[in-house]
Amino acid sequence: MKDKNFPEELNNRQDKPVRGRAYKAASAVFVLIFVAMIGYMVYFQLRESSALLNSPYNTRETKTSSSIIKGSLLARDGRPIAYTSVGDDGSETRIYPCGSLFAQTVGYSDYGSAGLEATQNHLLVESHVPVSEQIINEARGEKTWGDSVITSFDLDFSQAVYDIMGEMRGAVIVLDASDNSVLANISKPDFNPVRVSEEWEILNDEASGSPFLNRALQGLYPPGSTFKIATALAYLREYGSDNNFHYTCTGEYTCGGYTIHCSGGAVHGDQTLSEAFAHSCNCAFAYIAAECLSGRTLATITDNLGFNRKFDLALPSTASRYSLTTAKADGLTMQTAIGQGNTLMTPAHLAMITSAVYNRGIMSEPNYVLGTASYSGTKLTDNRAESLGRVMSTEEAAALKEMMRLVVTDGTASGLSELPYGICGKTGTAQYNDNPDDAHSWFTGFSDTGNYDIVVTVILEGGQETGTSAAAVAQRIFGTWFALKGR
Amino acid sequence: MSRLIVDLSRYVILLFMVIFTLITFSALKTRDPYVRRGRLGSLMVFTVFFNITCFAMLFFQTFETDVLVIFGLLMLYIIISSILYHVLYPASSLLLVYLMNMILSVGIVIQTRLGRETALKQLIIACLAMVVSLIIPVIIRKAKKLENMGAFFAVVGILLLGAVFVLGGVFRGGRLSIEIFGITFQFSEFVKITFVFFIAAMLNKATDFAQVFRVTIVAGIHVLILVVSKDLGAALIYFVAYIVMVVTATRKFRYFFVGVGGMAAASVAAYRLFSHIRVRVAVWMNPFADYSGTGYQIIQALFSLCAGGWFGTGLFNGTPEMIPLVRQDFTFAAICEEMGILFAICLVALCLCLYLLIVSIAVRLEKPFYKLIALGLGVEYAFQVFLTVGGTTKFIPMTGVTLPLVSYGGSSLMCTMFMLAIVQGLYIIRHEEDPYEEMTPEEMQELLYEEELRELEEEERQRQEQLRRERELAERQRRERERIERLRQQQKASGSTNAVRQQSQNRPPRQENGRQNIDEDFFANTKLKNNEPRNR
Repeated sequence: MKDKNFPEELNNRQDKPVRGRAYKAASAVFVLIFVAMIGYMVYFQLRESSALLNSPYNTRETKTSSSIIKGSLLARDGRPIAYTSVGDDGSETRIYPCGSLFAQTVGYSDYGSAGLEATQNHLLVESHVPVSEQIINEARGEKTWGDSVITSFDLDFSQAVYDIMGEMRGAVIVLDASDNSVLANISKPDFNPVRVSEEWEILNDEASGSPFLNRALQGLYPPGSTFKIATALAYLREYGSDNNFHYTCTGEYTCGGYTIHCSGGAVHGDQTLSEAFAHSCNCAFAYIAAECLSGRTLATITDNLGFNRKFDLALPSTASRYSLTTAKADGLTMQTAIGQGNTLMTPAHLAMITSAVYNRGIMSEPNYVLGTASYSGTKLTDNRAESLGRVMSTEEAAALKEMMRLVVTDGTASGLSELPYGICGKTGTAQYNDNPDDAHSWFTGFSDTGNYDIVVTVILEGGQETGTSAAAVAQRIFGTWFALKGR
Repeated sequence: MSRLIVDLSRYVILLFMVIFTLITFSALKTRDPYVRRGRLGSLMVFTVFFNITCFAMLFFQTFETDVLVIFGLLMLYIIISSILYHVLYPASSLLLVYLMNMILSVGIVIQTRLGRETALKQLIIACLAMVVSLIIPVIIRKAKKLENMGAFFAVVGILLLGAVFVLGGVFRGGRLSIEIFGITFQFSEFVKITFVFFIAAMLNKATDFAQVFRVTIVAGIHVLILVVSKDLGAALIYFVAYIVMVVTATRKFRYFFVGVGGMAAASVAAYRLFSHIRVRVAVWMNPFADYSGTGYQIIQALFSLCAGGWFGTGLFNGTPEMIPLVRQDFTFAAICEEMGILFAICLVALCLCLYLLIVSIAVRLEKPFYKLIALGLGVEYAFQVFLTVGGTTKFIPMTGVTLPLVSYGGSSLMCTMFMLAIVQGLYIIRHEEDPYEEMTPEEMQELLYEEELRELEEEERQRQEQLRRERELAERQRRERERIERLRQQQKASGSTNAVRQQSQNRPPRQENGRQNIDEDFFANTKLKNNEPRNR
């Protein structure tokens, strides 16, 4: 600012060419900005680039596709279930030797890609072949083989389950009870991954019944009586034990102006908690929800069990839905307690809960990928199921297991008692509209032999019509599994 | 086998680029003028090697004669321009010439990859611009009156920008260009130069607040026209150049904070006012929100950035053409994809070198007017690089400016070359006046140190001045006090003390009696205000 009283020569001092500091600052600021920008580029390349490379929107070929042949997907015993065949002219064809067996799980990479073929692609197009070999390949003008991904699927067993399912619509998910790896994941109807582009129109037609949907992970069904596992757990949580529960079933139970019937017009008479669970007594469980439980217990239990939570799996999945926050003496509460209401579940989620009962209360996510191996077969990485921690106490798990055992020995799944594998389970019939005959058939359960135990969850859509129950399918699955294991 | 060659050559290209970058940095630092000459010579050699490798790669993948034509022309351009500068202006900064030629080569290579026709057009424009560039030092030497033409530059700048706004064709949502005789001109590029000349001329005359205010008004008009024309990138470049020049000229860093504060306020206002700015920010925050619409371009650019990895796919092995407008706005993404992130980092480092070189030239210049011009042009260049590279990598929101010397765009290329030619011209004039001056960065450091020393001395002198004036003031006050004392004694002697006291109690002191009421408070105030005594 000019000061009128300053001598003239002082006012002009700023015009002298002495501005060293300003130039230094101007250099420093831009050096700083540029260094930050370069740092960001490095960070971006290190941390964010693989997510973008595997983005479903990214339709360009990956950086390595010119020099690497996409690796194979292997069954857990190492047999290929998807691989690339290179023709004499260098053309590459993706082969699916098992046809439609793994349609929704392994997926396809033709006309877009889906399933493990899409989600594990970034592992398949990397190569851990020794660098020397890669250079020799380059010199010869040959491509290098990408790594293999070892899936959790048991090939023979999956084939057997696939055959058992036949033309029935529905889904089966079988977990290895000890580590929650997925031995079989069958969803019907299915499609042939090789013919996706030819049959695209037909497969996307309404009448085909959504063959692309992996019903085990993405199918949302009313849980029916299988939800009584959660209601029983809520009762155990609230009272610490079965508390000498007794209820006399007269075939119907009315509360708050709403009446619940036991299925098939059955009258169960005097029931303990285990008996009511084994016989799937609707009246007893409606009574529990309406009169025994405090408002929030059921909501807390379902929250613990992972309802409304999306799991981070190797394949796309859907979260199960539960919406009743406060239980009270009304129709919706009673409906919810017996698995009707607004609750929807995926078979995989029910299998997780069942597995938690087997594993003394510890729940884990189902695991589809066991690890990676180089083309020559050297194991590179291991992948384990993500544990979700304890969802019920050891005592609660033991009590539930006992109840589920009674379902088999003296309850709705008595057909399974023929098998000598200590099977525990729960059946369910889930109405999906007002007609009682339009119902899905559920079974979820596990074997308890201490060796090669599995968790089996079966849903048959419209099970009443097909004449087979999910429990009968499960019986054949258990039988096949232990037969394959030589027992 | 051909794939192996392509694969190997991309490493060779990267190697040349890395070596070039390292030599440039060391040439910026080295002390010994003979070593410096040698390094400059090797820069030339590596530029040639780089082009040979790149064009061999391009030719073996296309087998088009166009590629050879471009290669030949580019080689001629590089060699002839170097020789001409060498012969016509032995005092010129060859580092500046070589650095510009290298960055230009990268541009021509990637343009050849993306489209032969545009690359040829780009190269021809570069040749024409070089011819003009060679005359620029002469023009600067002849035109002695440039520093008195501030108003002229202001009027030209505003008229050109205004003309584009009023007449210009609407292109991609922004009024950016005007067509004359079939050639599209982007005046905001040319006005960049007049803008810097205007500010330098104005601040060369005076740097008091009134002058800064005048500069601010005119600069504000420039920026406002650009914002309304939706040329956000250019508006930012002008604004940053303005701030840096004002701060440098006035040496008052508070202008910097005022400027940054003003920019923040203006940004918020612009964000509220203009929907296209909101869209850009939204796209920056989450491009996937509108994948197929507004986010498509940046997402494709990001895919491109990742696709090549550190070493790139090699020329013609990537698919950068999937990015809309890749030749203009996203050339940098194409470079990342096909030449690799490491190469791209080297390119950014070279741009930084060019800027540092310009600043060091600005420091060496004698006339403040020239110093300001060089700095202003340098800042415009560096900030434009920052906007486009940062925008492409999603470091900052995309503003849609070109990467100078690299992106396709005749006006941009021509103006950048003119800007560099002006800096070169200023350097040549300075150098010719003082032919023995071959300054290394250490010497420059010394120069800077001396300047700082001078600044400190200046401040010391001012402090002394201040002290002297305070002492004078104290002296005057002392004399005043003595005078009053004498007055009091006179009054006492005349026995009218009571009358005076009554006067002061009963009515406000009148002017003629004021002196009699002067007490210690008055001195305190005078001292605080640091004014000259009133009765001077």
